[in-house]
Amino acid sequence: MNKEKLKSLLLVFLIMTSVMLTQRVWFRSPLELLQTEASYFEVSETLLAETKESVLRPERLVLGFGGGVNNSHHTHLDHLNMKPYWDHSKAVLSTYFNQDPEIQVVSYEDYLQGFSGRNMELYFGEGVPSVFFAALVGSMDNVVTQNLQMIQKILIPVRSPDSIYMVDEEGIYYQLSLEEDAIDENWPDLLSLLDRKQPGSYVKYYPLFSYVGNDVLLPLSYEENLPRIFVESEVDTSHENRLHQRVRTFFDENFDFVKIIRETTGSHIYMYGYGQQEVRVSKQGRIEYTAETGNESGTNINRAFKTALEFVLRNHGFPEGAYLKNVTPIEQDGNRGFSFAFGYSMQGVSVEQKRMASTNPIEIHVYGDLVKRYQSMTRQAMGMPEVRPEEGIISPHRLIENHFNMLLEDLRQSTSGDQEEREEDEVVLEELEGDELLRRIEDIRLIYLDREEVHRRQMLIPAWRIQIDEKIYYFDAHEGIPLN
Amino acid sequence: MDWTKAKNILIAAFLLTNLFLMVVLYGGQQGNSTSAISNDYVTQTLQFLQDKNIEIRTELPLAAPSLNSVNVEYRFFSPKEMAEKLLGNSLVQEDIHTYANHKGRVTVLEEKILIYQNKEQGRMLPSLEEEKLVAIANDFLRTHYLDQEGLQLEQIYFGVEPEYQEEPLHKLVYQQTYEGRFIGESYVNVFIGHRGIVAVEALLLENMRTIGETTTSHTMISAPEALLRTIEAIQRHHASQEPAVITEVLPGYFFPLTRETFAEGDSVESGTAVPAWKIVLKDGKTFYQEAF
Repeated sequence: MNKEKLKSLLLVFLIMTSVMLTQRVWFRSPLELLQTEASYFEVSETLLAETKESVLRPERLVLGFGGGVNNSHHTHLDHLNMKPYWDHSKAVLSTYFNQDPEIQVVSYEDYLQGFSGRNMELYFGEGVPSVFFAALVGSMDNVVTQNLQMIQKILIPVRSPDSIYMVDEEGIYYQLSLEEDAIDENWPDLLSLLDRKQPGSYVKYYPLFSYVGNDVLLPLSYEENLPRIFVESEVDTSHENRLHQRVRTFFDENFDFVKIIRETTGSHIYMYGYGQQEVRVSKQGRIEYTAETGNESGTNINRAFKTALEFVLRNHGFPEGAYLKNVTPIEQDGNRGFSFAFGYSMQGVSVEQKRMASTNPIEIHVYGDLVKRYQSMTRQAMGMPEVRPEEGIISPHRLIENHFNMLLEDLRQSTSGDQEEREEDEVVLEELEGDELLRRIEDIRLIYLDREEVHRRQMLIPAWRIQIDEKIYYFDAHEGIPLN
Repeated sequence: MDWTKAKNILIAAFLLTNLFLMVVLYGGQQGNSTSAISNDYVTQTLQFLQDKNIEIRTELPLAAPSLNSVNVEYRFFSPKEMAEKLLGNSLVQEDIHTYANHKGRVTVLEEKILIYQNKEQGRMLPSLEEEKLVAIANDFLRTHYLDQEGLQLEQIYFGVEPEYQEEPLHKLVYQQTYEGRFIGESYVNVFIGHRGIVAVEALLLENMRTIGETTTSHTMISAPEALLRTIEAIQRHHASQEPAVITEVLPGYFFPLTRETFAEGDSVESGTAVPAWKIVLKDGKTFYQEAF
């Protein structure tokens, strides 16, 4: 049976070839398949919801322990300790958003009344859309969203749950009041929450300048010591291959067609097509993504928010401690969109960068359903020892004293326009200006300043961020020198 | 069970499977001859171009090669060093990019564009035959290590270059090549007048490396398509009534010199040269069309 034997042999040969070829095909494809799968990451609904909840929280939470107007003392809570207070606040908000509170515009003095007793004051950057809060607590359209577009601050007086206060993006104060019976037994026990905090050690903030009519809070002395920490950029610019992998997600399967340009300064530019999509990475690790979005335009803020979050999640995600700082409507070439700015914190303290255009670590511009621009510069801690200068943190009022002349000079220069009109009263004016400077201090807070000098082993400096009128100053909180 | 019949069926089945697998494996990479286009397509394109007052006086490649991007680096020149090599001593620094003396001037822009001007008047050249010109240029390039590997003479033009001298000059245009194809934007231009070399301009690429393997290469768009995409640019450049004449259409690699850098004052040092078509007009003007 020679023919049969031959056929058997042929069959065996064909089977072996088949196996070999299949192996080859399989070896080539799964690598490509795995790569494309890794780069195209589908954002699940759960992840999106989790992220939304995680980024929607106060930039700052201030606890007030009462003591009357001008005598109260408070404390700033850092991001690590904020959670229980924010959770309780959400429960309060839930009631107000889901019921029918009465809303009326009130004066600043009315707001201060609420502020003088025990309270929780929540700061939300430059304003977060009220619809986001509504969605967070399971309500959609309600009387709050109808009256306030953006919420900058929420004040919850602890003793009387029947009213809370809100400040919108224009600085208008609102009082929201509920009927007694709207408040059920499940009302969070805010009083005990604050009581528990009180005996503990915390840095006390006072309205030290209330004698000139300014109730900005600042500490008299700062007993805790914040360390100087070494950080590195989340984007690794030291190894080109790793950088390619990091940037790959922005282009998905188009990465094969992307052109790479390296500059003498160490920055990389990745370009697809004639600029349809472009990613620039500076040597320090700042990433900037721009894309052409044509005529995309949209005014649905929830949808834009979803697009923004999905974009970030698909491209490496948010850093730990990220929170929404503000939302601004934007327009370009007749197309409408939104700009979302996020901050993040290290060891509970917000990180800021000193840049001309903006100090937001993460910013996304969304038009319609597309992201037109995304830029991010975030750091992570390195496993290096922290630096804790023995002298500790200098209190901000001392810094203001030490640099009083410089600050005053700046203020005089920026308001010199007004001064020219009143030359006769010059002497009187000069005296006034000292107090005027104190009066114009808008905000004082302790942050980490990222000077974006290097990609690795960058030292984050604890800094007092002092805002006088529109100008922002940073002072090294350990050494007291201005960091402008 | 009829074993013989089964075997026949199995043989046929595996034969088919193997054929299919081979097509999948080797059908993707067809080396240098893929996507041949029909003659009709070419004729239509030529006709369309003629309507736009553009003439083609070269052979249009019918097949577009499959090429990968190439990683390239600019060759950086130090103005002082180059000046010393080309002009000798007693140099005067005219500005941050330029050194000069009685022999000539050397400028290096963006650390990579070399411009050398010769002020020394050599002996009157006996003849200006092409061969002689090429010999002079090659000699110069070799002596001063500007003869990068793959550098090829492309064209010799004759005309006036007012920035160098009033009388017309011969301009020898050299082009760099990689694996037999042009790689731009890079050039060496040697300007020769009656008394020898008047000027040399150079922008050179080095350390060229193909990125990826042949299995990941992509087919370029066809030559006619590249031409169609370039029509507007040609029309903008060519103002006269006479037809614009295309003398060259070739596939190669392109890395543009001018790009928006990250910040002002930043200088590009390397990047990816992508497969592109080079389209050259009779007057020397060159257009590059990226091939994806």
